[in-house]
Amino acid sequence: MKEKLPVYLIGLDSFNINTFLLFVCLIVPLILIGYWLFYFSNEDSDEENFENDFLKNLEKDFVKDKKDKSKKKFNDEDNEIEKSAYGEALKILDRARADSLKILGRAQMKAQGLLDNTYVISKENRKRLEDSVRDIYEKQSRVLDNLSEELLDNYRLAIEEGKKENIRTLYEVTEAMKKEAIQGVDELKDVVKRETMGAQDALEEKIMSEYAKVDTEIKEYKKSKIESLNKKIIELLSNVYSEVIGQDLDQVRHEKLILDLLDREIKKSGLKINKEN
Amino acid sequence: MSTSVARDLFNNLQTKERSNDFIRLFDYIEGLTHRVGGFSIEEALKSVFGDNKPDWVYQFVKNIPSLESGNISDGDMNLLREVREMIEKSTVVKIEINFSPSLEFVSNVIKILRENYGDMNFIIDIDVLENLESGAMFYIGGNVIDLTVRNKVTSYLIAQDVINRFL
Repeated sequence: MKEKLPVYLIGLDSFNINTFLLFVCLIVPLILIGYWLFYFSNEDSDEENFENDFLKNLEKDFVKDKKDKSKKKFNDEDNEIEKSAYGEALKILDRARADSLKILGRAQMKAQGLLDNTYVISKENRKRLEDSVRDIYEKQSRVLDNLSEELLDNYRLAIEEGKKENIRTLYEVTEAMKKEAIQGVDELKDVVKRETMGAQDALEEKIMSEYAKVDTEIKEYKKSKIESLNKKIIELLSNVYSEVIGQDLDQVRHEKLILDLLDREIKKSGLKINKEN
Repeated sequence: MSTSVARDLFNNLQTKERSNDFIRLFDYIEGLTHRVGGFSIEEALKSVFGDNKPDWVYQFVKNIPSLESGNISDGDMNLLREVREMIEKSTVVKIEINFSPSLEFVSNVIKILRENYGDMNFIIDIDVLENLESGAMFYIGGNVIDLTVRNKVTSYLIAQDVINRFL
């Protein structure tokens, strides 16, 4: 009795059960080998396409989410720090994207391959595929969570660095201002000291000048007064002598006195007389 | 010779007052139309000086006898003219003094002046100022010589630095 053949073997009348078993035992393993060869040859290209689409969406959502968070949390921080931190985050994201692309690409291709061949994949394989996809997803999720934490840490570090930098800059600026202020005060002190000493010198010089002037005036006044006094004393003495001598002189002695004085005065002065006079 | 006589006659005049009197007398004599005969010195003196006859006239009469005799020759007139010219050319020395000095004093003044200034003719102009202090003021050829006692005492006190030394 002939067993009914499968539909795809209808028409092959020459096939008996032995031929079929032989066929199954030989051909099916060949088909499976060919399938696996085909699967691994297309794995890389398909993996990349899947990876690109998936990570682009993931990146957008992630970046948007983190931007919102950073805006709320670090709203008052400096733009410069934010740019630096944001650049760092982008670098981390680039690395994460590269890693996740590889992982997800592989998973996608596995899943796609398994799904496309469901008609030949057993339930066990489907379950394995689904588990693999879930594992990959969970793994990716953990990676992304780690990325978020790393990004936050970077943000925090950047802010702390920024704060330290600000503090250091502020300290340096304060020190510079202090130094400049001290220098300015010193210069001002020097100038004030110089000006004060100059003014003091000028004042002393003026006082000395005035003192010398007054001293000269006093000396001149004193000299004038003494001369005037001496003149009056001499006049007084001369008048007394003249009175006394005049009363004591008779004409003869008077004439003799005048003649003596005349002869002595002419000889003493060397008086010259012009004959024409 | 005449010059020597004229100088003696001039030296006899000495003062400006006496010289002026001589000039007045000379002018009188020179103005006469007849100097020979008819001339009388007494009348001339009386006419010129009145009753105050100057004593120097007698010295002139002694040296020029024709004045006495009334016969004045031209030589005599020239001698008198020469005396007048000497008076006009002489140096006048003015003396301010508080008494009327003697002729001896005037002669000694002229003697001192000639000793110091050589052979010059001097006429002394005496100006008696009773209020003037002791001594005299001399004015010679535009120069002033203060010979008052007070001035001399003052000069002496200053020269001897009496105030600083004794006061």
